[in-house]
Amino acid sequence: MNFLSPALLVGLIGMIIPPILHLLLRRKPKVVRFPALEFVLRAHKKTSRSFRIRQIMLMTVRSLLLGIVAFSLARPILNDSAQGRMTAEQARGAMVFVVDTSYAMDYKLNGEALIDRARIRISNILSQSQASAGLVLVGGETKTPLSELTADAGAIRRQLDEVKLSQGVGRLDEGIMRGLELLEDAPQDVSRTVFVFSTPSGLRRASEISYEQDRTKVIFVDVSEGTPLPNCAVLGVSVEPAPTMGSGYWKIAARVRNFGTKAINTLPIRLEVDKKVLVNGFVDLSAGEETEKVFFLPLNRDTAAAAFIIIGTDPLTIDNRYPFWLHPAPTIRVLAVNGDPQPTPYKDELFYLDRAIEPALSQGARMKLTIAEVDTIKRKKLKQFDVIILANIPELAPRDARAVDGFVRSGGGLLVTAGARVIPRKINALIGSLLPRTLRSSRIAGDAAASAEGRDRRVGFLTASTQEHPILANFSPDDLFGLKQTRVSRYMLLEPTPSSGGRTVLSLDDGSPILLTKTVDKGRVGLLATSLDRDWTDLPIRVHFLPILVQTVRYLARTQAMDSSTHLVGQKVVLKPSSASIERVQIEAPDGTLHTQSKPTNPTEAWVFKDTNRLGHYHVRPDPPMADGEQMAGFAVALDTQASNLGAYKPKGDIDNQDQSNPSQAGKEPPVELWHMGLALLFLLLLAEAGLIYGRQGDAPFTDQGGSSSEAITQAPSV
Amino acid sequence: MNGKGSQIIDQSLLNRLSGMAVRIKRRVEGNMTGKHRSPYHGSSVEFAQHREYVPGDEIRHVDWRSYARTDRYYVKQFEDETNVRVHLVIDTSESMDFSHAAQDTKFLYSCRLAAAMAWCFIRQGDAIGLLAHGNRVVKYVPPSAQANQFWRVVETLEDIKPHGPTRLGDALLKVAELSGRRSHVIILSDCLDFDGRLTGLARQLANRSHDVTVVHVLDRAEIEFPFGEVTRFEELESEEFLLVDPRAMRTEYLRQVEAWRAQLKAQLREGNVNYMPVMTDDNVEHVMFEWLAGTQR
Repeated sequence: MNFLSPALLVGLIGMIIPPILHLLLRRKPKVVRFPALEFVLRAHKKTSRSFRIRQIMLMTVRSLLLGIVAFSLARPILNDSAQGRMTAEQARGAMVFVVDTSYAMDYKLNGEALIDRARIRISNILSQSQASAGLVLVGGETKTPLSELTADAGAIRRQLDEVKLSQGVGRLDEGIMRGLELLEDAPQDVSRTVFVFSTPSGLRRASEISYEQDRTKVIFVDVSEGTPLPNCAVLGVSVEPAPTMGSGYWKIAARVRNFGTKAINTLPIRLEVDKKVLVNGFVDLSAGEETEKVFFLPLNRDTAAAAFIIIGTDPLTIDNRYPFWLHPAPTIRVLAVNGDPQPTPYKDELFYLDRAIEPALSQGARMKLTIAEVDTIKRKKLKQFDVIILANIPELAPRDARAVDGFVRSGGGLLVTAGARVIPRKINALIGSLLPRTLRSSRIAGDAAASAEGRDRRVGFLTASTQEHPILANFSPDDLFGLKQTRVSRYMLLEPTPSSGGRTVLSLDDGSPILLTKTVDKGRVGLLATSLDRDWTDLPIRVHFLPILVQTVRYLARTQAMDSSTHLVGQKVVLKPSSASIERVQIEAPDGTLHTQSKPTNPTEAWVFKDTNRLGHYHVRPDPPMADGEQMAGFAVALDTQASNLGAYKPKGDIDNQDQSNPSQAGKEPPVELWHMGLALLFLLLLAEAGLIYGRQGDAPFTDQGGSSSEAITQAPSV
Repeated sequence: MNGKGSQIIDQSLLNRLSGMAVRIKRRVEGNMTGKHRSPYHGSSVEFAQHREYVPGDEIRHVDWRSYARTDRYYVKQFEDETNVRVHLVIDTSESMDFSHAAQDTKFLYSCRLAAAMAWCFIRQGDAIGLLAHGNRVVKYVPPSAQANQFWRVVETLEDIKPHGPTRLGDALLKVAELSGRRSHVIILSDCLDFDGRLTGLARQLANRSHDVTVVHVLDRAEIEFPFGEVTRFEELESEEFLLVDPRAMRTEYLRQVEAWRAQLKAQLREGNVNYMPVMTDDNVEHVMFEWLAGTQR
């Protein structure tokens, strides 16, 4: 048994008041000369014993009455659960409650949210203690709703009741440090305790740091009380083109993880786009397993679409949804400069390029091809293009070369292809600094390889130098094997310049590089050391010609994958206006809140948006709207799923010790208040007193002559 | 008559009692013709019984009508009326000097009753005497039917001051010694004598053909015990005292007193002793009329 107001036990001293009053307020007895003393003596002999006992009982009852009042005011509590018992020192000391308000606290354990369990336990602790207490809420950010410790338990309960869970993951260690700062204001001679209420995952992260200080104890309270918390979550989504499925197909891969200890079979998973379920599926997940569920989806639309990956419900629903945007792939504007135009179409340098891209366009591929000749480059505005292809050009005018150089360095893409008309010396002189390697001369393929084989063959075969290059990232091993059937009869020999920084994508079987890429300032440059037509290779008639060409152009245009990047709740998002003329944007959050954000005055400063505290899709619109109706790309904000792993938390040190004062179980059981029992006892004592008084006064009809009850003690008869 | 005498005697009461006659139920022996039945059959007009004629009986007492019916001689006997010797025994112990709530003391009340009774007896020619007894004989006035006997009794009463313990047994022995003939003995006392001789001697007196009446004079406080706070009770006749809370023991006290009174009444009546309880707050006139009415039955 404990007392919440032990100081009021001083009132027990009041139990001596009745005997003291009896001694102090005794009246001088009235003297009566009475003839029938014999009968008084006889009656006294018969009644004195019972009367004395009754009087002693009455005084005892009155003393107990005062004692019970003091006892009840001291608020006795009884907690039968030894595990839920706080030490008396803790109950009287200062304490701070650090409460995890991240989304994981919304986990429904037996229908009750973890945050509600935390509320109850804190309320129980407050009921047991007389300590001044503080509160720190750790959600997306760390908050201290009460600026200092308070003895008003009701204020803390109210603050707890008003808590709204954050969709971010807070830093409990930061909250604990804040709690320790609050406790610095507590008196020096009392114990200080920081109670940390969180999920197992939160406690795991927070308990990795030692916070112990003199007279300050940090107690981690697992609100799940060790109950397993099975949970599944969508960890992420990636969106990539899927050319092997057909033009315009995208591969949407969702990573799903089972954080529980039991396998889950046929977990429903679906893809929603614009609130319509487009694809349904199932995944099987063994215990602790992470798997990838892939959806292929043709996207032939001009506007962005808000999409969700959603898995079946579990006790924590918020991490079952993962938002992302499906942005339409931008149309790549390609300027192809034909260095070998021929009146016969199939002999034209760009015949196969043109023919390859045309059906792709009809199937939704976003590429716009403009063909020019060398002497017409100067009439083109290069800024209107994303990629320039210099196909078998012998040379460039210096002015055009400078324009191309500026185009590349400002972020454009350049693909230079070889051919019989190329004059290496001039090309090197004009744009050699852009090329991955400078050109040396043309060479018949197969010589070196054939010599090694002891045979006389005049062709070389293409091979992938690395599969890790983005251009080949979507090629399967079978695709790459088929690529090896591609013959190259002649190619441009390149200067060995190892410090050029270029990467070889394709090469011949003798190691000669055929396709190389290089990053130049903001731009990218590709070099195809063989021809785009069939003069030097049969690549244009191979099935891989179009994927390699499209992927290369996308790579050079920096649009090789759909921008489906998703930000995490609480992270800053850098806004990228589609036009430099946009000075202000309006951002609509998933909950409909509108934020207006102005462009920073400092041009070197990033335009960031910080209020990403809600999961979902954010719409970004120029403010005021652009005249041409141009829209800005929105962005999606997803959960940081590190809080979704709710595996068991194993406490360290003495917390693991299930002794009778295990502090980690504090507040687990509500304390049994005994004051009402005291009240009942008080009532019974009052009844007993009334009975005793009635029994006494039943003998005396003249109560007006009676003295105070405290003096109604029979004096020792002395005859 | 001094001041005390004025407390004892209420002239208007005496006037109202003047026409009242006191009848003694038992036969008493007297030396004068009076109002009371005598054990001796005489020539009064009240027929008593028939008895067979024996030689020596007066011929005038023969009932000739009975002779005519039965052919046997019967003599008619008549009640012989005589005067009575009355002994007023008054308790002068200190316990009689008690009053509560401004009432008369038991002794004064007893004196007033005794005076009234004496007046009634003396008015019808009876001889009255007075024995004032505490723990010994305080005063004794021999019985006399003379006209000034009443005043002699009253003056004696006026001179008595209650003192000492109660010895009622001794008083009754003295009465037995002094009254050789059958007489009427009236004892006025609170009977707070617990030696057990009172009832025994009173019954002996009754057995000796005396008409004995015990007037039990009590204060109402002794009956109802109206004390409410811690009280030191001091005995009047001794140095005893007791400090108690009366509220705690009232019920038991009342039970004891009631039992005592009932026992006293039962024992006296069993011995043909008249028992007459009175309270000091009872009206003396009412008590007297009730007593007189009782003597008529």
